[in-house]
Amino acid sequence: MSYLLKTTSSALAFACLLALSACGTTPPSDELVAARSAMTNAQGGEAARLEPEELRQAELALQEAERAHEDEPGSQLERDLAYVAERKILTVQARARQTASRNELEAEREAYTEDLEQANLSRQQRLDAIDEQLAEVRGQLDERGDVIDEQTEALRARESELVAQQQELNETRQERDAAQQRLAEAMAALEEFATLRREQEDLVITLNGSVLFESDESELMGTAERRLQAVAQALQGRDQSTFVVEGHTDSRASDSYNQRLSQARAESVRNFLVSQGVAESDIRAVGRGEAEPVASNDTAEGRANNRRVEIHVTKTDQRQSSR
Amino acid sequence: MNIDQVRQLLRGALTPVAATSLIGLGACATGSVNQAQMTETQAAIRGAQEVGADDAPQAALHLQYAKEQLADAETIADDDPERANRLLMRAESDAELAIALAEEAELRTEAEETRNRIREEREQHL
Repeated sequence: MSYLLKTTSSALAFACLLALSACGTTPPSDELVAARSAMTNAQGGEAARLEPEELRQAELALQEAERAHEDEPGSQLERDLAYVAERKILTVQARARQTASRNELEAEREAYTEDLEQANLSRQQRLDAIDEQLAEVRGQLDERGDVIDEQTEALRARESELVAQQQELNETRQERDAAQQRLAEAMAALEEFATLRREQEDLVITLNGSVLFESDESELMGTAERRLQAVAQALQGRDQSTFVVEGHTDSRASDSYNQRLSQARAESVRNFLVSQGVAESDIRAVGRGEAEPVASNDTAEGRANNRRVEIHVTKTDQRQSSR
Repeated sequence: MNIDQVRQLLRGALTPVAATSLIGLGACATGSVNQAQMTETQAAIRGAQEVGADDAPQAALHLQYAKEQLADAETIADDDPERANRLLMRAESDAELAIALAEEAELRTEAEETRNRIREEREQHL
C-alpha cells in the first residue's frame, strides 16, 4: 500500500503532507497503543534476554505499524499492522516464558542431580568408614583369636601336665598300696612267730630267744634265718623308720655275761637284717642283759619269755629325715 | 485554509489517484487474495488445533479470533482482497500466538509433572 502511495504523483504526496499536518494531533489507534505497551513490556522483560532475535522481528513489525501511523494516522492499515505487531510481541513473550521455564526446570534437574551425587558421595563415604571399622574389628578379632589360641594351647599343655601328674600320682599310690599290702602280708607272717605291741609311738616286735639261738650261743640258728627274712621284709616295708635291736636274757648267769651275750645276740640279728637289705644307718644293736625282764625269772616259762630279742621301730619325723 | 478548501483540493488531486488506485486494486482483484498468505494462515490455524489450542483458554480465544478473521477474509476476498490479505495476516498472527500459548500451557503441565517427579525422587533417594 505504502509503495502504491509513493508511486503516485507529486500532487498526491503534497496532499498527503497536508493531510499529515492536518492530522498531527490524531492519537494512535487502540491497536498501536496496545502494541507499544506490549513492546515496552517485552523489552524490559525476559523476552529481550531470552529471545532477542524474535523480538527484533517483532520490533520491525511494530516499526511498520508506526510508519503506517505516520503515513495515515488511525488508518485501517495502521490498525492491522499494529494488531499483527502486538500478536508477534505476545508470541515472543510466550516463547520467552517457555524458555525461562525450561531453563528453570533444567536448573532444578541439575540441582537434583548434584544433590544426588553429593548424597551418593556421602553414602559412599559412610560405607567406606564402615568398611574401615569392620576391618579394624576384624583385626582386633584376629588378635584376640591369636591370644585365645595361645591360651588354649597353654591350657592344653597344663592339662596334659596335670594328666601326667595324675598318672604319676596313681602310680605312686599303687606302689604305696602294693608296699602296704606287702607290709601287711609280712606282718601277718611275722605274727606266727613274733608278738607285736605298741609302746607309745613305737612298734615293738618281740622274738622269742629259743627260735633264734641255741642256749648260750650268739650265732643264729639255721631255722632262725628264714624267720628273720620275714622280719627284714616287714622292716623294709615301713618307710621313714629307724630300728633298734635289743637283746634280753634271763637272770641265771652273771650280769656281765648276760650283758655281753645280749649285745652279741642283738648284733647278730642286726647284721643279718642288714645283710637282708635293711639300711645299715637306720638300725643299731643294743644289749640290755637281764635288766628288763617281761616275766618272772623264777619259773622256767617266765625265764623263757625273758630270753628274747626286741626290735623297736620308731617312725622318724618325715620332715627332717632323708633315707 | 479551512477544512472545506482542503477537501476541495484533495478531491481535485485525488481524482487521477483514485483512478490509478482503482486500476491497482483491479489488478489485485484479478489475482484475488494472496494464496500464499491464505495457505500460511490456514496452516497456522491447523497447527494451533494440533497443539491443543482448544484446550487452553487463552490459546482458544486467539484461535477463535484467527478463525473468525479467516472467515471474514474469505467473505470479502472478492470485494476487498487487499483488506482480506491483511485480515489473513491478522488471523495468522493470532494463530501463531495461539500455538505459543497452547505450547506454554502444555509445557506448564509437563513442568508440573517433572517437578513432582523430581520431588518424589528426592524423597526416595535423598
